[in-house]
Amino acid sequence: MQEAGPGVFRLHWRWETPGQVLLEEWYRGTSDPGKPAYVMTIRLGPKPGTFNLKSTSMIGKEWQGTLQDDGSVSYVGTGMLKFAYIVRIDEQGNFEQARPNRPAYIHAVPISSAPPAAVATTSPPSAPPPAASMSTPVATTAPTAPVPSEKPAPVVAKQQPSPPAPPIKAPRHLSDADLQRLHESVQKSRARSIVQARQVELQRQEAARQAQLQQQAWAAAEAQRQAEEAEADAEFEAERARKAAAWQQTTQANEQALADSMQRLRNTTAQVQAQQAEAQARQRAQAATLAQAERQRQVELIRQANQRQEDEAARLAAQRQQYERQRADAQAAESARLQQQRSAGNGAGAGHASTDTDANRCVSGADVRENDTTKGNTAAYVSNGCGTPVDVKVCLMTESGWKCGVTWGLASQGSWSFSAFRATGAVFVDAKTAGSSRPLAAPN
Amino acid sequence: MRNGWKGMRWATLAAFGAWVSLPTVAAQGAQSPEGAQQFLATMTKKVLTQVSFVDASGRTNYVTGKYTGQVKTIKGGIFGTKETVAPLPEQAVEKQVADVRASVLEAIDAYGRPTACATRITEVVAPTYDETRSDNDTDNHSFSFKFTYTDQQWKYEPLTKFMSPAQVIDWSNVKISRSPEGSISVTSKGQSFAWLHLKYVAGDPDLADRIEYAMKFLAMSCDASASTGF
Repeated sequence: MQEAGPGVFRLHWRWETPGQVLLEEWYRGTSDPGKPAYVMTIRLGPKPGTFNLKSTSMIGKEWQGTLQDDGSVSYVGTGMLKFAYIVRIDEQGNFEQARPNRPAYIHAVPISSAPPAAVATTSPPSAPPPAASMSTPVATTAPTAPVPSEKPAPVVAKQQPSPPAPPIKAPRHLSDADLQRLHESVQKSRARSIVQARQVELQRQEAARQAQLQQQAWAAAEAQRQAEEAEADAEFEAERARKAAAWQQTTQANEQALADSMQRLRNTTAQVQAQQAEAQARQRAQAATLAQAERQRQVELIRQANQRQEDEAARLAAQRQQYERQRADAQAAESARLQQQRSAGNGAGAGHASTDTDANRCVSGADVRENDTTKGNTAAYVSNGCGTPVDVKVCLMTESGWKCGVTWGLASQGSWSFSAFRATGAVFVDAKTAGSSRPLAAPN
Repeated sequence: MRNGWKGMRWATLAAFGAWVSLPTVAAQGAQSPEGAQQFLATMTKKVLTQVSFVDASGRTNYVTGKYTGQVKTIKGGIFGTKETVAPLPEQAVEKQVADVRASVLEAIDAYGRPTACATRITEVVAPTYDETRSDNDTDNHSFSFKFTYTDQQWKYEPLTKFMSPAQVIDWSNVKISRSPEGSISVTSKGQSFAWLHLKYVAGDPDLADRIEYAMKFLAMSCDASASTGF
């Protein structure tokens, strides 16, 4: 046991709630004497003989205390740190605090004057609660039920400690005048309350009226807005319908115009096609006429050539006859001479020579034109303007080379054609008198 | 319980003709501060009596508390299930309890002594203001699922905060007012609170008159300066 040193700590107990909550205040002697350095709040535990101690030191740590048979109180801390200790009042009335199985290290001498105080020698007391035998009412107070703290159960108030209490205030007796003033005050208060309530009601009614007016204004505005919107919608719809009708009308007109245009186009096309057909027919007729005229001209030329040839032939024949006569005369003379010679001893033989007439002169040039019935086919027409049959060979140049055809014994004034596909335009013609031994020439 | 109002004896009826014209006052006998205390205590059982403890910061019925919670997750699939529990971070919370009602009033001063010039708010009640919330969430897929259960609690200080130390109305220094709605309030300095407001929502104007009269009776009886005549 250590002796208490003066001026270190002073203990002071006081009731926060008489019989229920006791405050144990530890004052540091050298510091502010009016302000406790630590305060332990001690409450009754849930069972008789138990306590709950909560210290402002050690971050509000709590201990559970149990009253022992010898009058001491054993405290065990809640949580992980137990910090168990025992407090008691020794035989001399000193406050004593000790750890289990260790010597006591605090003792205090109670001071008779209120409030009770004790002096501690140690630094911050961990938790020195009052012993059960102390003069404080903690131990002597009959155990009562703990203060209910659960909500919403009623909560009982705890009384502040009585000392130092001022004198109790006693009410004075009111005179009749006081009562009269009270009565008038209540009446005025009631009247004022009624006036205020009336004013509040008037304000409420005014607010309601304003709200109603506002509501009506809003409703009118809404109705007007809806009417304007409906009118705008109607106008828009009418405009839309008008535009739709105009559009429909325009569409129909455009479609009609398009149909008319298409019809005109078709008519024009047909007319053009007819004109083209007519032109082609006319061209073909003209071509045929020209071709016929050309053929007739060529035939005439051939005939004239033949005539000239016949005339020449006749002249030549006359010459030949003359010559033959002369030759016959000469032959006769010769024969006579030869006869004379043969007669004189040796006779002599006679020679023979023949010449083909040039048939190319009386065969017309090739008339080349597209085949009317077969697309891509080209035909070359020739006519025999000779007075005798001729053999004719016609060759057409094609994309793949010369294509040739031959007719034998083409009668006088007869025509013949040779055709080939994909002809390029070049033509070769050769003719000879039928029966002539001359071979027909080739273009190459 | 003795109703002091009804038990009063009205001795000077003639001197207070206007006073006795009140039907609620006509049947009175002797009026005393004790009777007024008894009447006000009785009224807490009959009309709504709300109390407000206003601290120095102007907060009414202010309590602090702690938010706690946990999230339990169950994940499952073709390979089995797994359950995990994770606590939510604790947070300090606070609120002002809207409805605290006085249920027991006693004529006791701040030092526990009986007196007609003080009214101790001995007992208060309030609807439960701790809060709890539970949420479930399910996330299912073709081959897995996840269930999430979230439990949250907001636990506040008990009403003992307002009872320790006991709050007492000192009728020698009070302010009494009456609202247009008919409720009567008395305001007094508290012990550990800056102000106390005790409000009776009477509803009936006659009853409001009686409550107001009782309050003013106590205030006048306990006002030491009132007897000076100034």
